[in-house]
Amino acid sequence: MPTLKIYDPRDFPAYLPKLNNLYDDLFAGGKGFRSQLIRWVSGSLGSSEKIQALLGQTIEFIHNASLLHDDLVDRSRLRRGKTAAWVKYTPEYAVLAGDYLLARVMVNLSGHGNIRLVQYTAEIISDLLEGEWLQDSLVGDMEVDLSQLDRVHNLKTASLFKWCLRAPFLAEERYEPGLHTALEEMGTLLGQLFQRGDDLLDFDVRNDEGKNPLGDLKSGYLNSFGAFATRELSAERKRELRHCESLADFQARLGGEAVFAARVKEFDEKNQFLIDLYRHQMVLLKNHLKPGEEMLLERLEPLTEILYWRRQPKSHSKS
Amino acid sequence: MTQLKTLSRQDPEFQNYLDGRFSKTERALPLETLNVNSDSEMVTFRIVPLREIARPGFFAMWAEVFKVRYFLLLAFPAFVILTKNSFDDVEVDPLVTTTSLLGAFFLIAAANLWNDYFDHLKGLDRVHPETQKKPIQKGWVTAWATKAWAWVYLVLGILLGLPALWVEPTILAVVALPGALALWAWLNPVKGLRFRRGAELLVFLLVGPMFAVGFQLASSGFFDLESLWIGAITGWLAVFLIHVRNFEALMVNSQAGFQSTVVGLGFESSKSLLVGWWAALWGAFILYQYVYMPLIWWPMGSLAMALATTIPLNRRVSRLQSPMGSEMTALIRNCRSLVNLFWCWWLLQCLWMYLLMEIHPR
Repeated sequence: MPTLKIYDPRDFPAYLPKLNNLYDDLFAGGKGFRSQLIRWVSGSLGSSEKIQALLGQTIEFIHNASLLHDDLVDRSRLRRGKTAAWVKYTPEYAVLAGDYLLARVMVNLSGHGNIRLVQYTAEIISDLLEGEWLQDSLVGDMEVDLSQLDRVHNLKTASLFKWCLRAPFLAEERYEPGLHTALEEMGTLLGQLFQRGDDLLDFDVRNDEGKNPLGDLKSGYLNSFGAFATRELSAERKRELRHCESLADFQARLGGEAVFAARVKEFDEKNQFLIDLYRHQMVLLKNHLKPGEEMLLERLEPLTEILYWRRQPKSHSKS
Repeated sequence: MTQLKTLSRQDPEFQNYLDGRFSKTERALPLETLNVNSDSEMVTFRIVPLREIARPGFFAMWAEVFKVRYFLLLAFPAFVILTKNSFDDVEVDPLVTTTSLLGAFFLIAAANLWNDYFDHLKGLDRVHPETQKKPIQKGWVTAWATKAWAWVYLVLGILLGLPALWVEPTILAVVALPGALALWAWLNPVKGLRFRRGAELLVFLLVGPMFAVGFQLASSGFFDLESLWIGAITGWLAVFLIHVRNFEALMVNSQAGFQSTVVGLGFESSKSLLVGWWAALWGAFILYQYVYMPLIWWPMGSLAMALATTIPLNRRVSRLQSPMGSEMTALIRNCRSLVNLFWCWWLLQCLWMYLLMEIHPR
């Protein structure tokens, strides 16, 4: 994994010690999956180390800025097992630190000089904020449906995946519309699959990360699996879901353990279609790659395994 | 494994897949995309065997394909005009009345079918919400069949309108020609007005005053102001339904850059638009009843109905915090129920007029 706090000394000025401490905490625990994805894509394109570092830094800055804001909006007191920044450093500092990261993104990217990359990055940040805004408006809504959540997740979650796939091509001045359409759709699919896989963890499905079950539901948010599994319940029964104390309680309200298992199976089948679609888009992407860039496909192929099924693909676990 | 096919608009096979003529045993269903970019050059189709396509019953399916529910927007004002003529002892020509009404039905069906076809052609149906899915996307009919039906209905509509033009040629100048031009402007695939501001005005004119005045001229041979009133009210109601639909898809339309009054106003002001539009509908209706109904109880009753529907609507709209979520879904359902309630109230008034004619024949 790359070092996450990859920065120029001017990024985090020495005369702002509190800001540095906050960032030290923030960047310490992340998995850095997105910057890894950037390295896979830009590495396959033969991008220079400088570009790879710039893009990796950009995505981590945007992602972590969104976490700073997200935790405050959701009033989440923990981030990566540690006290969230807004609790430890005050909400005001958390907001400023998030804003500062986004400002640094623009400073650093504009220094690279590719205006299309800067514009696309600004659009993605704007999408991210729209998604956050919309998601917050759905808190407490137990009758929201999956297609509505998909639209929110496309803005909030998938936008960063789209950026990871498209930005390295933009940085190399590769602008073919067909290429970017395929990458955009793949990013959307990865974002949806990641979110849906993550939402399943909340119901203790394939929860190897040991996430506390029903966190979303208890905080009044019906996530994608919740919306899918409860779609046939009456409005009144859906509203009662907020009072679920445990997973067993949720399963009982759904109709029992067998019904719950059947819903998981249906959900997996539905998402298998997204995986098929992702593979289809990969075939389209192949048509736009230059000789020598095909290794990108090998890198991208197992992502659905990692992001949705939450398992290490066999070929990768060996390497 | 799902069978998928992506084609560019320049691909020679593209038109056949889009039209549905590529196979007799399969349908190519364009997949929804969350990336709202209606200008996208690529379309991904899911290839589905015909036998796997879920369809409702025969009548439900064809009623949906031909948008029979929109016939009400013409059938009802026609019924009101006939009731009024009967009440006022105006002689109507049954043959011309029937042919012109049938002609109007065929024309509105043709317009709706063209509308679906062009949405499919331009890829608009790939970005709109699940609730606004149309028969072509569901695989019930092919786009080619939709277009063919649109032509057939257009020709039938024109043919059935000829007797009215023969009897009352002024219809051509007053209604038919401007109506046809407006319809063309609305459906034009290149510069169509459908997703531009002003589209609502065209719908108002076509479904409202133009139809009502045309029908009055065709059935009775003369113009009267009351038919204009009736048309204005039904046109206003038709535009209310458009606002409701655009409000439901506000987010997508806004992202895609489709222009409409709702997009122009934004979320908060559109909430006021819906309530204001609904209140104005009742205002116009009360005024109409006050002028034309012989009994003051009707406008009084309408005032009560207006209050009974507008106040809860306003309360519900004020509660709405987001362009998505269950509150929005419930509001849309509520608005459509209110429209049905309005029809029922007006129907009651017409039935009362018939009752009056039975009791006191002239």
